[in-house]
Amino acid sequence: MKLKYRYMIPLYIAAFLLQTAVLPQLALPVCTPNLLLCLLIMTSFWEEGYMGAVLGIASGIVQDMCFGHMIGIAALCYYAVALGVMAVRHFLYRSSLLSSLLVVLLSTAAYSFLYWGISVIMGSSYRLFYMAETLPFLLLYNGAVSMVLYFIFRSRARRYPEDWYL
Amino acid sequence: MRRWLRENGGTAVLITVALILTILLVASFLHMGNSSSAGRFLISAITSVQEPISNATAGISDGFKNLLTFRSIARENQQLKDELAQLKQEMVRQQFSDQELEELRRLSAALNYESVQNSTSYVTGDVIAMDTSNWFNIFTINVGTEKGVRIDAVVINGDGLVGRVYEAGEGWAKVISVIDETNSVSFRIFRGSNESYLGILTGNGRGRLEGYMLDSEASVIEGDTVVTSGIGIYPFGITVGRISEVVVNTDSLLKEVIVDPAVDFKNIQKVMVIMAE
Repeated sequence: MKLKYRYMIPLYIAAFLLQTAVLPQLALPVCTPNLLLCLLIMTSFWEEGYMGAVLGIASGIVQDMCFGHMIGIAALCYYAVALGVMAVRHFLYRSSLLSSLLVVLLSTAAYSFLYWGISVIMGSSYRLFYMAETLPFLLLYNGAVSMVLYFIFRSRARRYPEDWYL
Repeated sequence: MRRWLRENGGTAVLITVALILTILLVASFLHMGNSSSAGRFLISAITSVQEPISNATAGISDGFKNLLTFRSIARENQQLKDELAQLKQEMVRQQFSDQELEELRRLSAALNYESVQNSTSYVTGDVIAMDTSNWFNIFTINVGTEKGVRIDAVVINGDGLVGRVYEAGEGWAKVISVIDETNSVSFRIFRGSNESYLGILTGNGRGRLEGYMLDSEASVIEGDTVVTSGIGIYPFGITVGRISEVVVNTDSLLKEVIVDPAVDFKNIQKVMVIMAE
C-alpha cells in the first residue's frame, strides 16, 4: 500500500479523537489501547521513508500538550519507537500478520519502558510495578487493534519481495 | 565534518530531531504547567472537536447500557424507592437535631473552617477527553476561564473528590485527578464522633490512594470514610473514599492506609468545579 500523508493525517487525527473522546467512555478494564502507537508502528513498518516518525512526533506533541505534564515525552517515545521499527523492518517479512503482530507487541513494550524511564528521569514517581501490571492489557489491546488494522489495509498492501528471503 | 554530514545526512537529521525533542522536553520540564498561547489555541481547537464526539459517544453508550441493564435498573429503582421511604422517616428524626447542627455551625465558624457549603458557587462541566497514555490521570472538561475556572480550583462529582484544575483556557480545563501520584490530599477520618484523626494521602499510581496518619496512635479501621480536612487547597468535608487497608510501618512507626476512592475514575462524565472565594 502506498501510504500518503493526505490519507494518513486524517487517520491519525481520527485515532487521536477516538482515543481521547470515545475509548475512555467504553470503560475497558485496566487501560485503553494506544491507537496512535498502533498506527505509528504499522506506518513505520509497512511504509518506506520517515512518515511514521514524522506523524509520531506530531501526534506525540499534540498528546503531550493536551494531557502530559511535560511536552515532549510522548513525542520522543513515538520517535524512538518509529526509528526502532524502521531499523528492523527489512529483517522481517512485512506482508505477514505474524511479523506485524510481533513488531507491535515488542514496540508497545519498548514504548512503555521508554515512557516510564523518561518520566522517572524527569522526576516522576510512576512505578515500574504499575507499568508492568498494565502492560499485558496494553499488549493485548494493541495486538487486537493492529490485527484489525492489518486486515483493513491488507488488500492494499504493497508487496516487498526483497523481504521474503531475508 | 562536512564530509561526514554529506555521507550521513539522514543520520544527522535523525540525531538533530532527537536533540530538538530532548531540548523541548527539558524546557517544558522547567516551565511545567504553562502552555504557550499557541498551545492554548491548539487545545481549544481540539476541545471544540472532542466535545461533540464525547457527548455523542456518551449518549450512545448510555443508551446501550440502559437497554442491556433494563432489569437491573428496574430492580435498582425499587431499591431506591424503599430507601426513599426510609430516608423520609429518617428526615423526620433529623429535624430534632436542627438545634445541634446550628451549634456545630457556630463551632465551625469559630474554628475558621472553610467547608464546601461555604464556597461561593459551582460550575458543572462534562468530561470530554481523557489522557491517552494510560499513565497520568489527567482529563479535559468543557468549562474554562470563561466561567471563572482557575488553576487549583477543586473538582468534585456526586460521589466525592475528583481532583483539581491543572491548567485552564477558554472553554476547557485540564483536571488532574486525586489518584494521580503528583497530587496530595490532607484528610481526616469521618465517623460522626468527636474523634478527628488527620493524615496525608497521595495517588499510588494504581487507581487508589496511599498515605499515613499523622497520629501514630490514631484508631483507624478498614471501612472508615475519609474526607478532606480543609488544610491545603481542598475545602473541608469532601468525601475522598474508604480505607481498605491499614498497615503499621515498623520502620517509621506510622500507620499507613490505603484508600479506595469514592469516585469511579474509569467512568466519569459529569463534574462540578468549586468556585472558591
